[in-house]
Amino acid sequence: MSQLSGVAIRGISTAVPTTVSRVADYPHMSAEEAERFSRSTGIYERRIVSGSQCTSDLCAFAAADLLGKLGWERGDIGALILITQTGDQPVPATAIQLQHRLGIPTTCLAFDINLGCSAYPYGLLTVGALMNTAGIRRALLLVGDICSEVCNIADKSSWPLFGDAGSATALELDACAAPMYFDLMSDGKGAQAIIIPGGGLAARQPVTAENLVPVADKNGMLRNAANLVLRGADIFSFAISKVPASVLRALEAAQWTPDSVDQCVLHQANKMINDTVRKKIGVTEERVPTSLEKFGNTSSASVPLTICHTRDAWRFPCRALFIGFGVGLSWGTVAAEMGEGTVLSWVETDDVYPA
Amino acid sequence: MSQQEFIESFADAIEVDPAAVKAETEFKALENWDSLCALSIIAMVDDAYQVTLGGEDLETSKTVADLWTLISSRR
Repeated sequence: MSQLSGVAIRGISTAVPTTVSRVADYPHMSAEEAERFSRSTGIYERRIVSGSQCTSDLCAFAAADLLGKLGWERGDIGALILITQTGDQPVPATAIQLQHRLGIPTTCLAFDINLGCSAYPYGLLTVGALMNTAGIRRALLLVGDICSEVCNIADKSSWPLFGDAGSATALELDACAAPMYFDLMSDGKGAQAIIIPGGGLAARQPVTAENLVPVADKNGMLRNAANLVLRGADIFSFAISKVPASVLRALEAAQWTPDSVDQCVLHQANKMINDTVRKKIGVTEERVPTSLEKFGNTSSASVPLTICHTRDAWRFPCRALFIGFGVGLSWGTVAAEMGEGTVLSWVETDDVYPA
Repeated sequence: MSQQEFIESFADAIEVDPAAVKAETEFKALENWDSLCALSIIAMVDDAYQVTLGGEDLETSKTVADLWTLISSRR
């Protein structure tokens, strides 16, 4: 259990690509299968990148939107941290390119963190603690993924679940900010539950012609070694058995009751998982916003995208829980008090930065 | 709760006619069995029996009765 004092969330923005991919149009499912899939998962459509659009393009657009609305100078930004599992290239870290591209001075420290569905609570603590320790007045936490690029389109156990998005959160040192309470956990025993086993810089399964040939698994799903594998049943068991306890620990640390929480934002895994977790936490449905229907599971960006998607609910100060869980396995909760007017509407972009 | 009630809940969760599911039914061989069915079963068992099944539990269980035995042993 960790507590972070003296850091305030000043703004949250999210960008998605314009291309809509509808589950009903997915060629690898019958109409009946697609209908059942959407009913069970709550996912009807997602935004996916086209052309050479990358995670950095979505995050840069969200960050520029946010800096503009806040009226912050580029020179104010002392740290820029990107959490992604789908960076623009294996090396160098995408955050460093974003520093240059956003016109932030070279005095800014920048690096990537490799986390997915648990990114948001992890990011808030990591960046907030860095700011406190190093005396960095203003910082940007970027989270984003383009999972459509790593899932095999013929793999119906992963492809139709994921959407692409990038988000920016502005943080500022503020001695008067209400403390945030964190419960962050890791369990590498579950590494196989969501994994891209090969490709990129992988040492165990490097990029070889052989590793890039799609092979059918025992359920007939086609993937190569660089495609994402999602073992849904294992993720489901993990989420419903570990996540509620994390949330309850964060609530206890903040000395909040479930009833006193205004907004409980869960990572958007799927409807069955999220409904089960919500019931176990004991919060009512209207306080659990969702973006599954329109955006699917957007990995690291799912919590801020859901916040931006339900912007009207964030007009007034409120008590919020941000809950991430998944790949790693990694999971966690933050209990935070949100100020008024910190949330921007999500925006669309097909911008591609010249490589 | 009895095995019969479990079988009915099982059929209900995966949206098949209860008459089509018996204790000796090899559930992964059912025509409409897929990964979504697995999630529905995990959710149903968690809710009704407070037992969390893992992916491996479903892998190693062959029949509906096997699954019931496993759940009963963990309650």
